[in-house]
Amino acid sequence: MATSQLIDKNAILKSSFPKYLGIHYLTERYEWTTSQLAEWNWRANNNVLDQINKVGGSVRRFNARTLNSIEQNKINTVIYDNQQNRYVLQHFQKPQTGIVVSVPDNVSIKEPLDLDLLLNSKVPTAFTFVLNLGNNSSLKIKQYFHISGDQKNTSIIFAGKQGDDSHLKINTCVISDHSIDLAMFGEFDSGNDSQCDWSLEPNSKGNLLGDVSINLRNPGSFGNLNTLRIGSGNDQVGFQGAVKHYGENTTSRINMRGVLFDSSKINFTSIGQIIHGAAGADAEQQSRLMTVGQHTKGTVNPLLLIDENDVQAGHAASVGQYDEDDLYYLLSRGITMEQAKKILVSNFISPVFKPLDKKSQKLITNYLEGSINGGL
Amino acid sequence: MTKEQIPLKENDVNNERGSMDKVEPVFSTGVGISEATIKEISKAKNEPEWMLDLRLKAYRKYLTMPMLDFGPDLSALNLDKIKYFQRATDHIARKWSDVPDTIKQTFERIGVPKAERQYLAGSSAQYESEAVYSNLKHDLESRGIIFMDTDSALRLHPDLVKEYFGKLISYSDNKFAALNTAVWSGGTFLYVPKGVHADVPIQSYFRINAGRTGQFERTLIIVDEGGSVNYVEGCTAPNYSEDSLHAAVVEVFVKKDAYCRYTTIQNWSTNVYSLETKRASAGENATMEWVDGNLGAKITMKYPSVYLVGRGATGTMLSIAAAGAGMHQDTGAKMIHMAPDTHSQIVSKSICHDGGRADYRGLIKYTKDAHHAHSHVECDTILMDKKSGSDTFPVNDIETSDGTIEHEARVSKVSEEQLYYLESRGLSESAATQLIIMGFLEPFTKQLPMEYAVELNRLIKFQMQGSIG
Repeated sequence: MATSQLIDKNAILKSSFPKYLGIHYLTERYEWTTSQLAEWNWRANNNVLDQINKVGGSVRRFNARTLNSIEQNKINTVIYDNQQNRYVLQHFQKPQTGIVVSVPDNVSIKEPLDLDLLLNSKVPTAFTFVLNLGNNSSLKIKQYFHISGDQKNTSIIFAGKQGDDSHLKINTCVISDHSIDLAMFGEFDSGNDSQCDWSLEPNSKGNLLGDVSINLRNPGSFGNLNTLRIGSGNDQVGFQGAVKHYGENTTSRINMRGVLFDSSKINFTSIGQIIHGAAGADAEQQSRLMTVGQHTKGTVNPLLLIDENDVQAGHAASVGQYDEDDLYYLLSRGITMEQAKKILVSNFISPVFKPLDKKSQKLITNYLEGSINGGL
Repeated sequence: MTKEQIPLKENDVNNERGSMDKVEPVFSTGVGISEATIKEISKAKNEPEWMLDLRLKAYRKYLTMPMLDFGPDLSALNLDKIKYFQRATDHIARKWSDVPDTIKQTFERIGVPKAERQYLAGSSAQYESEAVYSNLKHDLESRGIIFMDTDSALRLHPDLVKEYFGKLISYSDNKFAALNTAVWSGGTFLYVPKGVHADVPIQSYFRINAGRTGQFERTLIIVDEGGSVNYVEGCTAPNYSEDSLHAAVVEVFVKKDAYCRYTTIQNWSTNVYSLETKRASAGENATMEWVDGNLGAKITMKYPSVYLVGRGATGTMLSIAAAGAGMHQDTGAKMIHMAPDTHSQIVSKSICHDGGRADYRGLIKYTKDAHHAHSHVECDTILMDKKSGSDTFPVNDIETSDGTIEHEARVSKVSEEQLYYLESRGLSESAATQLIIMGFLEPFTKQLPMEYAVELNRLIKFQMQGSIG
């Protein structure tokens, strides 16, 4: 059954464009239709692909007809959780395409899976990433989206499910060679005592609307969500990252960093949500923006939604320029203004930058250099 | 130091707020609202034409405005069942002995004017829609301070009122600001001339007595250049079966180099909807401080704001909210920085117990002109039990590149380590919990005048009786 048939027209009519506290965006910017299937290519490191295949897992391109029931169910969960969100429903109305990563139970893949996704279609791409990680398995994924080929719009949706005691470390880095309007939605669901460590660097040029979450549905699970965005030119970014605690003794950390150059606008919303009954939950968030350009506009909205008392929940947020004393110190040591600002910016982003792999670091450094040189 | 002598056993919150007095209003417009009601109110007050026009304009706007679409559920509030205007006495007493006995007893019980005799510079008391008592110490009067209910001010100082009325909060601001502008009655008018310091606090007391009453306090405070004032207001109502509404509009103008502190201790009974619009503007190097204690009401929606319009202006907000059974405190603060070198600070403390809910909703905004602005926000919440909950909705919005905002928030239960320590020192669990809660609130209570701090501690202990330990 094709996924597009899962969504009837009434559902679309009942849905609306998502509203986020503190995030303003042009709704029409992220709305597009197409009946054409977008072309795209992918490659991954063969040794890891072999390992996954050998244990009965798979990494494969899918279309609506080639998903198994577990994978289809995961997509259905995302649709169900987002039935108010018109973008998500429209995404699944379009011709479906994407990657499925599936790893069976009790498998530990030590080496990271390098996944290069080259979205080089001329027509807009609705890309879905499906992950199914078995019980007691562990997997690291380094995912790089390279967007090219004149497409004006791209939407990427994540649908992930982890088994009990599983460990997932996933890095999602997005870059583009031209200005696009990118929409990112989706969620990863935990298992009992599972760990999910998700870093997102959606640094495509142009505008971004993002709403991603880790759902700690089971007891003892841990979720870490890191985000880094460099804003330059007239970029308008609205990004919401959430961790939702349903299970007891769940722990989450959210860390968001944004740097604003030129006339860019960034709205960050981070949500730590603890549902009634999730006793012993521990949620901490940090959300920070550094304003470098003269005409930037930054908003941070750290939300806590707490319906349980036996919890620890906290957030810290800030918006501001680099510390003038720090700058003065660096200048007094004979460092040039440009170099000093680079140091201050790299220091600011280091909590989310340092844990990244070398390749992502290089992609971001290149992007940052471009922005700094243009923006200072 | 005197030992706490609070009888925690027999008293309950009902007694604390006093029972309902049997006072028949001398004049009332009855239940419901229409243009006729508004004309009647205006006529009863002998108002100038412009005020009636404004009221009617606001009423028409009110009819077209939608109900608030955020925060607590207001669907149970029936605005057609409210009595919009009730006059308790036919004149405002200048001497305490002139206040009618039943009303006097109520205020005596809650400490007016005992507090006045002790340390206040002046005080006034409002009962239902209008003031019943107003007095200002002679030396302050002779220095040009004007302190009276807003109705009298409109008669005696029409130009001043006209100059400032509705200038900070337009009737089109929100539905309840529109309603207040249409049917406002009473409230405090306070004018402090240039360079005058009112060194002791001035106090107002608001009381809703009958059920289904709407109290639409309209307060206007102007502190002229270099002046300073410390204004304190308290609010109570007895418990009754029908819901009442208190929808105040408070406008505070703090001019260049002036200082104003506005302290509210709100202890409405748990069938009062407290939907307030409070806003201040701070000029060059001026300081505006809100000190806000929300201990009562069924639903409170209150986000006092400061518009920092002059260079170097400072705005602060220090608030506590205690939400018990059947209560929803949706409070916060807004700091709008519109000039360079402006500073603001928000400290918000909440306690939820017995299924109460306390949410923080706040906004820090720097406009393009707010260079080198600085703001610091702290929100702490203690959830005492499993039934209680708390959400935090801060928005931090910057349009300059050289300002800084810091924001911190924390939600937790009473610390087990602290409890363990205190119990190991021989305190009972309830005494230990009480001590921890009082310590948690201390940054707030230490800012209050002594008598208020004692009173506040007492109210919190009353409210949390049974939920502690």
